[in-house]
Formats: sequence, C-alpha cells, structure tokens
Amino acid sequence: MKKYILATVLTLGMTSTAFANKCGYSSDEGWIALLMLSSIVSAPTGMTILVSGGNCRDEILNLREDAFKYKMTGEMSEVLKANIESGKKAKPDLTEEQLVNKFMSMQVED
Amino acid sequence: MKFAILALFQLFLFSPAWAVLFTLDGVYSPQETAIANQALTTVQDALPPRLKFRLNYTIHVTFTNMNSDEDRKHLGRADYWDKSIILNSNFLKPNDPQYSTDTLVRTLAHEIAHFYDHQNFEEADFVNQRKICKNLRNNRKEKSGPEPLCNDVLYKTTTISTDPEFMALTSWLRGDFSAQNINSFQRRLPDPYAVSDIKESFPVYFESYLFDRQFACKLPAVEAYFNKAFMISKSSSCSKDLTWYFSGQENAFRTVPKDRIWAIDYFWAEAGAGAASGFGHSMLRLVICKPDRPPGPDCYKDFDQHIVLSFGAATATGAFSNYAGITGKYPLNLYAMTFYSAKSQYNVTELRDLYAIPLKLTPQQKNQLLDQLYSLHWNFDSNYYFTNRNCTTEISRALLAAGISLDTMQTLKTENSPSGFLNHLFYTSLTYPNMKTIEDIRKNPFLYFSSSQKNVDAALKIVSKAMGISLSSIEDYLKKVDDQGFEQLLSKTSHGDRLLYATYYLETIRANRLQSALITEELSQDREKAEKLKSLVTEGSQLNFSYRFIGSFLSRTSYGNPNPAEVDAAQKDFHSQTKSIIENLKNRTQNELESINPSSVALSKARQRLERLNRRL
Repeated sequence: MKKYILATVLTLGMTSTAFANKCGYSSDEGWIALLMLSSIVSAPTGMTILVSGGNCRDEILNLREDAFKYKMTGEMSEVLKANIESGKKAKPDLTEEQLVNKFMSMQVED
Repeated sequence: MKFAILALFQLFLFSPAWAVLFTLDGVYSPQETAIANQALTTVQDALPPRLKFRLNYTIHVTFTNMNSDEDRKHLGRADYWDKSIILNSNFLKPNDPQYSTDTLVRTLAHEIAHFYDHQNFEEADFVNQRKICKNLRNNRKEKSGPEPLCNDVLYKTTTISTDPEFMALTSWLRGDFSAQNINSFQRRLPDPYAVSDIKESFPVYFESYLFDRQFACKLPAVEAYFNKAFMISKSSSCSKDLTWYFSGQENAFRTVPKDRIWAIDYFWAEAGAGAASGFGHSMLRLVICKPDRPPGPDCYKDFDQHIVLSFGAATATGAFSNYAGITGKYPLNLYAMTFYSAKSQYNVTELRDLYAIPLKLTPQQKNQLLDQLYSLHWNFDSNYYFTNRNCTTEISRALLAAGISLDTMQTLKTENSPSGFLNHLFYTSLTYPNMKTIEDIRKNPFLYFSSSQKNVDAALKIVSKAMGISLSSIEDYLKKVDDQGFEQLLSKTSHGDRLLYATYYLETIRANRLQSALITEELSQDREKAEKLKSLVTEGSQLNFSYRFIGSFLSRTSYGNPNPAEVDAAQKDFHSQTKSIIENLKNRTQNELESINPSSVALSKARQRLERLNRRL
C-alpha cells in the first residue's frame, strides 16, 4: 500500500509544475483528476494498476521522454515533431531546439 | 447504382405473389374485424420484402382469451406447427392502454419474427463456413483444441437469434447448454424481454426496427445488421457526434464528429515484466483528425486527438486477485482514454512498447465498428473473466459484430490472449500487405512507440562509453557514479552534447528515486500521516470506481445510444454529482501533501547536480 500511496504522491507532485498551463488549464485544476485513481486491468491476468492523472501530466511525461530520446540519440519521434509544430504556432519566437529543451526540462522542477 | 440494382432485384424477386400472407381466422364483430385487419395490413406493409418472400406462406391469425399473468407471453404466441399466430382478444377492445394498437402491431411483428427466426435461413457464406467448421471438427476429433467461432457457427439453429454476428451485437455468449446475455446493463433495452431468452432477442429488436423511427440512431449497428440481413437500403439522419467519457480525467468528456475518425488501429501493449501483464494488452486506437485537417493519412500526426479504447476490469480498492479475476468479480466496461494517457501508462510507467496495427476495414465495416464501440461505451456493463471475457475477447466480439467475414473471425477468435490475437491478426485480410509483422510496425514511427527503457539503455550506453566502464542497469549507475564519477562526467560534457543529456536523464531518475525513498521513510515513521493519505487514496479509488461507467448516468426512458440531449443531461448530472466531492478531496489531499517535505543531504546533492547540468543545457 505504501508504494501505492507513493505513486499517488509522486503523481500529484508532477502535475503541479508550471507547465500545466501549456495543456490549457492551470496547475491547480490538474489536481482534480489525480484524486480519481483509476485501476484498470490491462492484461488477461489483469493486475496492472493505472494511476490515471491529468491529461497534461500524460502529455508532459511523453514529451519529456521523447525530448530526451532526441537529445541522446538524434531520433525525433513523430509525437515530438507534432508537438514542436503546435509549439511553434503557440510560441513563434522559440526555435525548434528551444522548444525541445523546454519539453525536456518540464518534469525536473517540482 | 448499387441501390438501384438492389431495388430492381427486390422488385422482381420479392413480388407480392410470393410472400407471406396473413389471414384472420375466427368470428369477430365488425368493429373487432376492422381493428384486426388494420393491424394485419400495417404489419404486412412494414415487413421487409425479403422476410415476406422467404416465408412465402399463409399465417393464420386468431384472437382469443389468454392468461394475463405470464409477462409478455399473454400478448401473443406463434405456433409453428399450425402456421398460426394467437393474439390476446383484449387487443380487439378499444381504449385499453395495456392492449393498444401500437402494442398489437408490435406483438404481431414479434410473432412473425419468431417464424422467420425458426426457419433458420442461412446465407451462402455462412453455409460455407458451416462446412469448413464441420470438416475442422471431423479432422480434429482426437484433439480438443477450442474453435470458438466454429462452436458458434455449429450452434446456430435459428436465422438471426443464434447467428454469431447478431449474438455479438447484442452481447450474447454461447454457453455449453444455453446462451447467456453478458451485459448486465439491461435497463436501457427496447424491452427487458429481449434478454429473457436468446430466442426472444431478435423478435424484440425487430419490433423496434420496424416501428421505432429512432431505432437507427439508438442502435445503429443493429440497424445496419438488419438492413444487411433483409437486403434493405435505408438512410437515417442521426447525430454524427460521438461523446466519449474519460474516466478519472479532469476533462472527462470529448465529443468527436464521426467523420473525423480516419482509421481504427488494433493497439497492442507488449507483455510487461510482471506476471500480471505477461500476455500483453489489447486495445483499439481511434485515429481522429484535428478539426482543420481534411480526413486522410496525415491524421496519424494528430496524436492529441487520438482516443484509445480498452475493455478493462475495475476495482474499488486498487488491488486485484487472480481468484476474483477468474470468477467474474470485477466489472468490465469499455474505457476511453487519451492517446497520451495510454502512452504514458505503458511506455513511461510500465516500460512496455506499444504497437498500432491499422485495421483494413471497408467504410461500412469501419462505420459499423464505430457504432458498436460507441454503443458498448455507453451501454456495456459486464463482468470480467480471465479467460473468456477479457480485453481481447471483447475486441474480437466487436469485430464480429461489425460484420468482419466469418473466415477472418475464424482465424482471430481462436485466440483469447492479446499476443496470440496480434499474431493471428497479421495472417488475416484485416491487416495491410506492408504491415504483416512486428518488424514492419516497428519501422513506422506513427505506429510504434518505444518504452522509456530504450531511453535508459541509450543513456547508460553513452555514459558507459564516456567513463570507460560497463553500466548495465540504472542501479549500476546509481552505485558506480558517485560524487567523483559525476565530476568526471561533468568535465567531459559540453553544451548540447549527448553525454550531457544522458547524464541529465540518469540524474533525474536518481533525484526521483531519492525523493521516493524519503517520502516512504517519512510516511513509515508518521503513521497518522500515512493513514490519512491512505484513506484519501482509498476514497479517490472508490470515487473513481463509482464513476467508471458513464452509462449509469443515462435515463431509463429510452434505450441504446443516448441522443444529444441525453448526453448533455448525463454530463450535467455527472458534474453536479462529482464537483463537490472532488473539491473536498482535492483540498484535503493538498493539505496532507504540503505537510510532507522530504529532505536529506543526498537529495540536496542530487538537486544541485541537476542544477549544474541544467546550466549547461
């Protein structure tokens, strides 16, 4: 159970980043969904627990991972490309690399 | 053109000369005769030409006194031996609301449906499949390997009720001795009588198909099935918007116009490390185009629009037991989640790769599959069973309901496990020629999503090379790269190089792990704090469990898919019920979390390292 609580605490922590605004809502609103812990069987044996968080948290988690992947291997995922495209529209003054850096560092602060 | 040919075909083949006819038997007053004849004419006119043509005999209709305490059976019954329909004589009395004219025509349609069903008419492809199944069974006498679709095919004894496709559409599952309706959400059926016995299922739906003008909107997939079965071409003007409910997410609803859904992919999460995820997981991805993009292959770029659908079991406690999984103790629903949510769960949290296999569907099959999935999302509330009602079996059932050919389903239905299903899928015509193996999918960046383990591996490789040592795991890194090692690494990094990012990535994991350990320690020492958090998590879990199924917010006054007004009402009801509970939980959790402030020298040091790395980015 401790691990479960911990997972929740950490998940809650992640969402309260300033980058929550990127997803279109304030970081405060990001808390709401995190309280609704969803447990969904994801295999026939079915013991996998999904701690479902805010949409924003999921986006941030994915972007961060893909940004690191790009920086470490030079391989840019289509998910990252798509977000760079929409990032450019939202922040035309930022370069592609600046956007990637932003995606990458979103998670670290807490 | 196709419809014109169909119309001509119907004109010649389904001529009134060869059609079922009703004759009224018995002696009645002129008024009673008028009521009876009016009903017979109404039904005769409404019956599909193909049904009339296929029956092609005279059915005698009689009105008589019937016992009124036998549920619907008191309304009427079909006698196959005498080719007659016996109806309750109360129908002939005017102004009895229980025996209205509407109920009379519906009852007559119901009974004629029994005749049609009883004849067990079969299409050529079904006859062919039956032959294949018989051969398979004969050749495999010694082997007892399961052939689920063949069992269903050979079980068919009626035209529609026991047709595997109709059974899949209406949530019937064949048992060893009888069929069982597996959807416990039965309060929104045209009539609960539909699930009293499998043989009552088709007649009940058929009544509404003939006489409910909204049937096509309420049960579009069943409507399409009937249209196909009766060779009828009908159009309907239903809302094209599909509203999906994301259980446990702050933006809980999203409405998507159907015509923006470009494709449907089978979405497979590879097996995980734990025994629980050892078989992989089956899902479906709806490839939805962003509003300003014309539907086309480019919609695969619109990840933030994509929706992942997953049949899953839920628990109020967060804990699952194998025994409960085997014995059907968990509810089973069709969940919707955002693509990013699925990706973060599998790729990041569970370190499992994801593969999307585009399904090669005709526009009609795609449309019907969407209709069926939408109906299930709002109306399906079953029980999860480890072997025969799981994420894979239900996707398989949805495909069968969408009219995928029996020979394809014969290949797919032999597998109840996600990995097995995937392997079989590649052999069917449901996959594209250039996407026949896992390797094919892996080459396509829109279809393959690697787990974060690949990032860890890449980072370890880069750091290993720079330090001239072997680091095989994250634990290895945490142990071997001490203060001195970190300084050594930092001295080798320069702005923007790969080593810098690899170190940064691994140090982020170090900081997170330290923080986790500290929080665990703090909670283990402060029982009160731990108990409060535990209780909040339990409450949150129960809350989510209670609100897992959006269909429970629908009114009981209708059936099938909700119309736009019902969707709107369900959303409002959901928000009004959950708003204050969530607000309260949110505040309490925030207070509790603020009281946790993990700190240690090691964590401070880890954070300082991150800051130093951050300055070089």
